[in-house]
Amino acid sequence: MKFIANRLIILAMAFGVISCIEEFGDTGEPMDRHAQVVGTWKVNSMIQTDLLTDNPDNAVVDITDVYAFEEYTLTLNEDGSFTTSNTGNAPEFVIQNGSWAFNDEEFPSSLILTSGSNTSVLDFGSLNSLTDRNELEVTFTRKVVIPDDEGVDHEEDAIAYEYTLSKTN
Amino acid sequence: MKKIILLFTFVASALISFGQSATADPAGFTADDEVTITINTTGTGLDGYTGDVYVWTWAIRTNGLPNLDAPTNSNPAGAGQAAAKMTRSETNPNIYTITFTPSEFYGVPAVQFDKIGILAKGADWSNGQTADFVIEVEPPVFESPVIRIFPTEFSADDVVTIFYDTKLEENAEMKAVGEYYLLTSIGGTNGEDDLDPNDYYKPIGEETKLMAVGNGVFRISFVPSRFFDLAEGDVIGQLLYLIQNQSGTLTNPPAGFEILKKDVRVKAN
Repeated sequence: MKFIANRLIILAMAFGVISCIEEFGDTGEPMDRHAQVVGTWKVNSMIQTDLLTDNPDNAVVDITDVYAFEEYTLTLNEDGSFTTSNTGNAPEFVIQNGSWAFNDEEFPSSLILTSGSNTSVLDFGSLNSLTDRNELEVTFTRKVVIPDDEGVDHEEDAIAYEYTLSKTN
Repeated sequence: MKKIILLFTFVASALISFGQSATADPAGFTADDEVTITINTTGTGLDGYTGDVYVWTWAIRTNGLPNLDAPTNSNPAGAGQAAAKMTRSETNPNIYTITFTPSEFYGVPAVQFDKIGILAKGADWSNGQTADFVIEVEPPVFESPVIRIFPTEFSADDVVTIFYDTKLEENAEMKAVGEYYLLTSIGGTNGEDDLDPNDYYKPIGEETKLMAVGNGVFRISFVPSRFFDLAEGDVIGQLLYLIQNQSGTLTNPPAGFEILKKDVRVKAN
């Protein structure tokens, strides 16, 4: 009896899901991420995450109000060039101008900033933020050189700087 | 027609999913604890399978950090995946277990674990697999110090924050001060000689005053390469610091104890 009851519940849920699918229709064309990111972006928040800590009370610090991050902007141009502007005292973690590209045009997970031989990688957070809130969520991961137990240096991801930016134009 | 196909697919999926499960023992664990994961493959592509079965697993991390695959995730599984091989139950061939300590198995600090994503598979995907399972991980227990520096590792160009938690202060006089300052200097090299910390102490004043952030906690943030007056060629190798009242008559660590020191790393990007 319980077996039949379980299946009736599943059938009811299935009809509910189908109703939702009917309501929302087809999923449509893929998003044009390139067009979505072109523009000038201003920092709304800057969160710093410690990637190496064992202390949950010491894992994340909001540094948005410590410096004038609101005066830092990133402009991604249609022609693939980019510039930054920093009229306040915000520390800068990525290169200041050059060219930008996605790591993958179809399914981008990172924004690559390049200037000569210098490269800064900004990993996307939720790409839904572009569509839902017109916000760009990107993370710069700081690598540092740390000696291991034998004294041999190796690079390690130490800090994540998580930018949330909104479009100004 | 579309509705019927969707309904059939949904019901078929639901029926198949009956039986398969993943459980943890102990049920509540942190990523620093040893845990045994049991997966029941009944009703999956591995139902009745007699070959070797492996876990394919990933850390679902806190604070929006991206998921991270375990180093053993590689298909097809071979000698390099020995640590991911599951043990088949002698009494029920559809029951498999594996025991590991998540922070070691994934190479991820315990504090970053929110959940574990896991599935069981044959040596190759074509041998069959279970659905994805998600297992909750509890945050680790950690006793914070009265003065803590954030982050754990940093370069001279990173934002460093020093917290002072007066709730944990044992000196009643120091606890009652209510206004705190950072006494700080650096060690390092100018390429030829070691830097003398006495030449780099920041004067006590507004720039070194900690800000109250509530709940008895004070903090100060700075970027070392901008905070200290460096000469050309100076390279910061160490940060020296303590917390004091404005006059310096009260300090933590107390007088007679060594100043706190923290290595400053070279940045790699």
